[in-house]
Amino acid sequence: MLEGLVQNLEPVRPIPPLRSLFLTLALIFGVAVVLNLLWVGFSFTPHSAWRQAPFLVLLIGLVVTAAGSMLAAVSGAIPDREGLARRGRRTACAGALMASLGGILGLAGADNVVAPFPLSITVACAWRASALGAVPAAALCIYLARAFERRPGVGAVFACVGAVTMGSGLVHASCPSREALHLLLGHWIAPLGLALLLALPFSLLIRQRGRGPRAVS
Amino acid sequence: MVATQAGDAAAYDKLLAELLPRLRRYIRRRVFDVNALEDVVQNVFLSIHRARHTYRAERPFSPWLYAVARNAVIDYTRSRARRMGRELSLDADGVVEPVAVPVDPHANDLAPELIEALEALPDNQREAVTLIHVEGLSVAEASERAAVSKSALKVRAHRGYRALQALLEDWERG
Repeated sequence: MLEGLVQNLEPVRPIPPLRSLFLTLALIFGVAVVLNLLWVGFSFTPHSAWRQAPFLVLLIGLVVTAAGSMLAAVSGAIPDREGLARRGRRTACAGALMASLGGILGLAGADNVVAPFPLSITVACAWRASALGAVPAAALCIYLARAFERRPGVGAVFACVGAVTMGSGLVHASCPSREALHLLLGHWIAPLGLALLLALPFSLLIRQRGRGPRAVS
Repeated sequence: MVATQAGDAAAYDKLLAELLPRLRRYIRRRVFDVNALEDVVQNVFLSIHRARHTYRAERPFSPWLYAVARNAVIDYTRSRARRMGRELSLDADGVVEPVAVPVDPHANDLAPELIEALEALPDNQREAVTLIHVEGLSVAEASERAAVSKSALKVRAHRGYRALQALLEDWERG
């Protein structure tokens, strides 16, 4: 058996280090933000919202979830980085709790959470978050397919949740709406659902293309 | 390992030969089923081969190696638990009644050591091994005779065969 492995040996290119992957992701997010601003125009959350605890807790929760999930996704696909992946998963869970808490705090403090609910803006924000996260999610999943992902479904879920919640954080920071229900649904729950849907095709991609090195041509 | 990534077959051969005793020791401490030990060792080497591009030269080699080995052991433990669960549920339902197939020493000119080893197997494994390897039935015929599914019979025959092999090797060593 060992002889067979030696006979099948081909030169391979080592996977790029994590810091170069994260730099690439930052660049992709930067381009996505610029394109998004050109697409929807320059609109910013009113200054008064930045002083409100629920708004800030939700924003921090989204960013922490995104960072933890992306870290968990990429480091879970490299054999000696599993400790980092565990820390990423814990961070993502803490961020998700924080984001949920921010949303619930917003609802608890709102005067009227149902009557003026702006459904169309909520759907638009969720789609924007997904659009912002789609390309980074694809980049993450391509990396996972190149690395050694043992559980493609889990890897794809963390990659997509990370990328889409990062997109959602950017949407949250630039959304003019301050409706509590809109913030909870449009910036957190709906993007999370869309991220899980996005993970389905990506997990198939990782399953098909994954678990094998690419030979150097 | 860096030379291996560059495609140096001689370095790879040397590396695998050096790793074999280390990995055997590591896996023996974690896999208690002696029949499965070599399977797991082979899986670890396959994983090393498939994951060799994830090693980076600036990081130490041992943590990478043992992470690959640990994952292969975890995969084995999971698949074993799933298989055991399936087999237990079949037996617990009373669907499968192992038929005690007697080993006839004259019918097939079996060596006395082999007959003794066959007798030492659990009923369901002996039945599967006898039907397939001694009587020479096809899997379909054997599964019909034993009143179990083809996959269950194949699992039993495989386990029985490995156990038989281990017993005979033990006796050979004395």
